[in-house]
Amino acid sequence: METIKGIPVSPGISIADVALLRSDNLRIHRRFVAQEDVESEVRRFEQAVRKASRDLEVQIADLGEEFMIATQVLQTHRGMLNDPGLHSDVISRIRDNQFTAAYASSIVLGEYHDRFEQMESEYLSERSHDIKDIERQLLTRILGKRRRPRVFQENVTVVAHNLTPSQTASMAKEMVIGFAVDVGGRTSHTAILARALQVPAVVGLKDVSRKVVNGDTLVIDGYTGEVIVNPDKKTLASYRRKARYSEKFYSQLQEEISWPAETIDGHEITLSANIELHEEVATALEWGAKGIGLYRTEFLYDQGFPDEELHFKAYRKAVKALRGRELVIRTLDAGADKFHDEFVGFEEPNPFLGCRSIRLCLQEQGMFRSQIRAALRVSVYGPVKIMLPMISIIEELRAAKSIIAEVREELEAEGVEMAPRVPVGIMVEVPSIALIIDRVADEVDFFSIGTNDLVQYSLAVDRVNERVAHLYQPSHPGILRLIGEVVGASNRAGIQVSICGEMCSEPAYVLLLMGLGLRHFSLSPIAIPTVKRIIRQVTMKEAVEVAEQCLGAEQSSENEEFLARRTSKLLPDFF
Amino acid sequence: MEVERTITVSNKYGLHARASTALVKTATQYESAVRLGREGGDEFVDAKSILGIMSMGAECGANLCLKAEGTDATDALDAIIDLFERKFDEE
Repeated sequence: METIKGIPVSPGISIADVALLRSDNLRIHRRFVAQEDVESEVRRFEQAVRKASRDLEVQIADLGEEFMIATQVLQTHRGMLNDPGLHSDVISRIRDNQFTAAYASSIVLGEYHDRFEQMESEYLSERSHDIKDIERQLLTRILGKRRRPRVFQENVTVVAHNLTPSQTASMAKEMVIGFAVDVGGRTSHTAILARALQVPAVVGLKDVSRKVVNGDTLVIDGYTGEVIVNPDKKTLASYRRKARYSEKFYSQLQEEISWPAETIDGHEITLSANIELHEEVATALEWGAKGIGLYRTEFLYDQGFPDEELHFKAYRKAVKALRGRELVIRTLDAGADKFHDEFVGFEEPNPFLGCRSIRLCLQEQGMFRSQIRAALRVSVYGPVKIMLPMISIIEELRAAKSIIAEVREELEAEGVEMAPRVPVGIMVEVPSIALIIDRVADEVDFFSIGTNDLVQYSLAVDRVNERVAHLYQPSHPGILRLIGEVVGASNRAGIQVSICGEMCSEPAYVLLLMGLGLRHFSLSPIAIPTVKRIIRQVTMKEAVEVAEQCLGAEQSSENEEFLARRTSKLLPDFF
Repeated sequence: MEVERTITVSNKYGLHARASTALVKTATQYESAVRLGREGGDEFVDAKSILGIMSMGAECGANLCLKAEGTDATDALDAIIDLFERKFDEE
């Protein structure tokens, strides 16, 4: 079993076998033609353009009116293929450089491809895939190769490096119930078509097409962007349940998304979203998020250390997509899991207690500074906050803050525009800092409780370890006391406190956390509607009673049972 | 004959695929050479080239300069300006 994370672009859950679509890799070599053959090579190019253009017309006619969007895309392709500028560029390469028609076309289209790819607008940068698609069609004709489309006999999930619009549309008419694609973003054709056809799809998966083979079972979660290859029995069962529930629940949901997350007695809870990719902002807003309470930046480190520009571009896209809503950028929180060895550069006997997260950043300051520079620079485009993870002693906070102050001075000296104030806060996830929270409160602008690590470090349980996972109980009265302390101290100090761990995405804990005084939740986008539905059915008085009962319990297992019972009444479909 | 006019892009999505396709279609109906670029800039693209137009990345609100040269230059620009003003029939 392996989980791969991509960009969810069309909601729904599909479970089916993989049909892998290999893109034919047309390799074009640098070849020349003799001077006397130049003109016939030009005619060869012109003929190929006409044939490819006719191929497109046939595809358009085949699709029919049902597939308006695909048809429009193919019309655009036809326009691009017949572009006089493209023709004269290619022909002059043939005449001046004596390139073959194939090589000249691939050079010229390659230049257009790169020009589009580098464009700032996500939409236009996605158009580079259209250029690739035209190149493929044109080269197929120049080289005289044709392919037959594939026909499927049973429900399948199509996995591909990239899908052309005509491929996507013609397959969705068949037995295709899900798409998982290596490249692309929210405005890619696969995304647009999959949404129009209501087929779950995840794109931007990087190398899923190399990780699966025909016949693998694939779960596509079009809500979270997770794709699970060969799920184990337990995971499969939970996705079957989720698929049943989500179909019922999300079909009724459209109107509720704009409703406030307010209790019967008028207490509002702010629901923000946790994201990993800037492309998820749009999805988060669609599910009703008020902002982004946790932007995990680890994905930017996927292909090695990102430079400042890479950070900057991703953050700017997120900020712009939020249109004035808040973005909380968490600085690198790597280590202890899959990223560990690459980042730290050496093996540690106990990575969970090792050089991870802020500790790593304070040791690798160059890397940390680029991230801070990007975060400060982007503050000119909209409200941004910086959040420091894994702070365990107050000195770390001070060291990080002094770096942030230095970076700001540096940027000011360079004349870079920034917001006059960019709030800096910390994740509360190490028990030692939670216990002295009143002293830390004077030095930060906000707190965010990261329950995943707080629970793990407090209970000394690795929840991934099956032999002890049952001891991972977020409703342990000790944890609840810690959370209560942090909320109380924040309120006394008058600074905002939120919760961003998975605990607040779990319906069972919503009442409890409200009762402990939390008013700001940051959760996975897809959990927002469910959590909101709970909030809207209760009073704050009930929430406080639930919290009091749980705080007074002797064992957390009692709490877990009580909370599940309590919540099942509010969400009968869910349990 | 050479004619020059300015126009502001006012359709929601700017010169995206659909609007660019429509622009090329209109420009191609005239004999004159039509070019467009950002107002004040010195880079111009052929209005009969969809790749050229799209690679400008002209968004809603962008100010553009249109130049036409040829016997039917005035008619060509009138038709194109009309298309921009109709917001490419998007709304």
